[in-house]
Amino acid sequence: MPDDPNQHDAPGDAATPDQAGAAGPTQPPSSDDDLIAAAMLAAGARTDGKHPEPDLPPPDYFPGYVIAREIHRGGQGIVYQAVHKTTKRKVAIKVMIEGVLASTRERTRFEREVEILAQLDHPNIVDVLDSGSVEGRFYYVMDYISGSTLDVWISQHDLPIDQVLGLFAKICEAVNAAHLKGVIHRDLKPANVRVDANGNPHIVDFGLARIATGSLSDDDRLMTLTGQFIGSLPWASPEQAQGIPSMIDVRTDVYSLGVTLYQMLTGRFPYQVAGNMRDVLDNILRAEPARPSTVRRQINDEVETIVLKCLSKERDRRYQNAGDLARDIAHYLRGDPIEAKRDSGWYVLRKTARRYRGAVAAAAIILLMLVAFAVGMSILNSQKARALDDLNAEARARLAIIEELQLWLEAPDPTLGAGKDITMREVADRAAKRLDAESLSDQPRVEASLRTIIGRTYFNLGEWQKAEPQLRRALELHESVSGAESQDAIQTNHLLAVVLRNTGELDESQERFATLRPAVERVFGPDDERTLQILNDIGQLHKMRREHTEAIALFRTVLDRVDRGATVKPEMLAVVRGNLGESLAQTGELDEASAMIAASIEAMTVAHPEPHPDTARARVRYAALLQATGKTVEARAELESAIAIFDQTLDATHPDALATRLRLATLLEASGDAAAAIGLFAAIVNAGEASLPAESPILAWYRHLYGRALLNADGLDEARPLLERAVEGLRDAQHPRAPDAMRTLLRLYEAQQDETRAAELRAQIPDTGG
Amino acid sequence: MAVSDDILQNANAGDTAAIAALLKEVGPRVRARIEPKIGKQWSGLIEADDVMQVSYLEAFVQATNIVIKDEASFVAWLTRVAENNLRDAVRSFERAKRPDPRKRVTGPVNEDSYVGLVEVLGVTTTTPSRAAARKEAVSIMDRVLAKLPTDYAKVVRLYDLECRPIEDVCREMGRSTGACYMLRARAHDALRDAMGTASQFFSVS
Repeated sequence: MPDDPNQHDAPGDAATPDQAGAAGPTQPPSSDDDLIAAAMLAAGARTDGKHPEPDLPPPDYFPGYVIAREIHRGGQGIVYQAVHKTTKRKVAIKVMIEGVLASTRERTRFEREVEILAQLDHPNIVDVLDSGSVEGRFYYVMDYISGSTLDVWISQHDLPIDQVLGLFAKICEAVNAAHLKGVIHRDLKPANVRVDANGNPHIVDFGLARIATGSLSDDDRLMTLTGQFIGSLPWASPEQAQGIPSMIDVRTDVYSLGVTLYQMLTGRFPYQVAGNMRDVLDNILRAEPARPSTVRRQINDEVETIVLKCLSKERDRRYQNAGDLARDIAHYLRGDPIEAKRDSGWYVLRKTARRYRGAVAAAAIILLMLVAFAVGMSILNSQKARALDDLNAEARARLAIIEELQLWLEAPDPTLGAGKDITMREVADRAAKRLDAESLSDQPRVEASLRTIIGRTYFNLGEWQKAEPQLRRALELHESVSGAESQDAIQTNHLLAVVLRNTGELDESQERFATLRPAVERVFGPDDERTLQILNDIGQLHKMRREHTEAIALFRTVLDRVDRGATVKPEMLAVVRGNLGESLAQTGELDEASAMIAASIEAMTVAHPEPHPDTARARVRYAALLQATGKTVEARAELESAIAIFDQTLDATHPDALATRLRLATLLEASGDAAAAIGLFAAIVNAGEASLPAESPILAWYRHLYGRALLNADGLDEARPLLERAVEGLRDAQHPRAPDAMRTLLRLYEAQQDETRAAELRAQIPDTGG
Repeated sequence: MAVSDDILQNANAGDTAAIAALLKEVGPRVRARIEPKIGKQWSGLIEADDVMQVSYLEAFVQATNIVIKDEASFVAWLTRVAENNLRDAVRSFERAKRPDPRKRVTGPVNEDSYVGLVEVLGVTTTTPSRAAARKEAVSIMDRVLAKLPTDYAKVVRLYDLECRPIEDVCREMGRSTGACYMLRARAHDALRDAMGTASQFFSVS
């Protein structure tokens, strides 16, 4: 056995530690004093204050601090425990291991860690107190967290599951704070979390973190070139295991958090992580995690669902950020239904659906799953209020509905050609018809949930007119069953108010929002994300009405509450910033507007690394700002980029996609590119005619713009029928822009010297006075 | 007698004499709590002295890791350490009653011994290559063991690395079997903590 190097430095040296250790059963120490003395000797050089560790620098190596001991040594740095000379505060000092010989990449990484930690101000992320360099070695000083690493702490405390989840939720909130600053940790694991004496966790290592800028770091380039893995393998996500840096985003951290939670609950990894590298990578990429409940029986279905959602191999099926994960754990701990069950239900039903014969498109299955989710949610909600017998009866009834819908989806439909996929729109139409035809008067809660789902589906498709009646009926039923201030009623009313806003029913929308605002603040609290979402939506309503002062005040209220600690999804924060930027631009505050919109795009890109409609919407806002400041070339590029994203993510007839094309066409026309503008207007009107009701004022406005472009380009004959239909449509709808279209048509009649029509029209235009 | 603020402050700064003074003050109270918990079943195998001595050793080892707010919180902490020691000793004795499915083969220390210990600690050894992992395990384990108190390092080397029977280990260390079990459990904790619980094996940082 090698000699213990510490024993040569033992204090006093009256006895070596081994000699002290000989005080065993044969020569028992006679008192606690003796035992303590023996223990002190056995602890040996570690505790003698002489710093026996051979590679420990002198005690005063770091100016202002006294080194106590080395507490960690990693590939990048060494961490020492030290005491601040003046305040006697215990601190930890991390110093680059290679010092002056460090490569540029290592130095950059180290400096980046300091920079990242300095900007993260969260009670569960370690604070940086100081930094500097000594003898060419960079170091920084942080809080010393007494206690132990998370895994050791968990192994020493036999915590019930709820307490494990409460502790884990704090870690998620800290990670979310980093995500909101655009920081991806990339190396989350129990060893990088220390739990202090009060049981509070602290994330202590951001050595591999990167700021999501969209550009590649040195680490990323290395990973791309060599396929080198970055992170810690047992906690790595499938995208890390694949070594593709562009796929690493906040959801990568969610996966690592999932592995960590799995360990915290079961003491094991979700799959085998020992063995050769190839097997481990294969497990990360493909092995289904063992169900946590098979390891620890007390883990119930909901907790298991949360864990497994984090560990989904597909990023889109995980929680989309650590904040979502924290919120779902909070739901569980409060006894509320968890969001993750939605995914679980989808998954189970999708597996069932694979048994189906024939061509049932994914869209149809998804709707079925939505229905199942609604049923599941209703059942969960009912659990609180109903006796078990009632619940079973209701659950049976609802499952019967699912079975019927399954049969309906499987049934051959003579109107469908062989092999034709059913679209989401067709499925929603059929589901709506079926609900109208089948009486569910004895199960109003079920009908309300189903209609809400169908309404939301139409809403997501941009079919606002079809969404409206579904939501009105759903709201009526929710209010009658659960009351106007039930969560279901509030959420349905909120969606209806947004639909009304989008269809131009601004007065009714405003009335509904006026009722909703105090209700949500009462029911959910002022800092709840649902409350903040409603404030943002009311702001958008004011923005549409060009009431920018009111809009700005509301958007700022949301941002203030987030600054004070309210948690919202990063994408929602990006939307609010974008809205604020848009309203600020309208009031001439262009500098702040520009900063807000740029931040919005950046945050949206982090939240949605893949093409996403919200990213496109953020780009449209930016384009509007660029246009307002005369930067038409840049604005055109942004709009084309947004359209490209919409084309990948939305149906071509979606109102947002159409509105963006319309904005581009208007920009092209204003820039003098009439031919391109006219071509685009023609496409927009065609798409509108295919998707909007014939009487839609939006379609009438599209025709007006198309006709006006033709008129300006001297295409009078082509313009006339378009403008006449536009005026008719807008007048029938009593749309406030009708006089604009009438004036354009008057200009055409005058150009064609059709004095009769011109005179008739002149008499009808309000401000021409007849 | 209450412990003075000076002793608490110095103990927090890692002063060995202050920690010893603190232990002298609170040790008997912790002993009084532990003795009734040993029970008749284990009284022939586990002595309160063993529990207390290993607990005192742990107090010196952990002194720089903990923040001692006041005397009461230190009593609570030391009691928990003592209870853990007692529990680990009892579990080890119970395990020893059952036949070990893994045959312990006594022999010279080699890389397999280190990898085996890493696995016992719950530290997986997945690195880009298995061979590299083994070398890494040996290197890191040796470095960490060198920094542990002698008794901790010795029990690990004799029992976990040389795979010697517990009776031999205890004889060589001049300790009771219960004390050896407790020392080994605390040594494993210290190893896990010092090794950053696998972090050095898997992170490129």
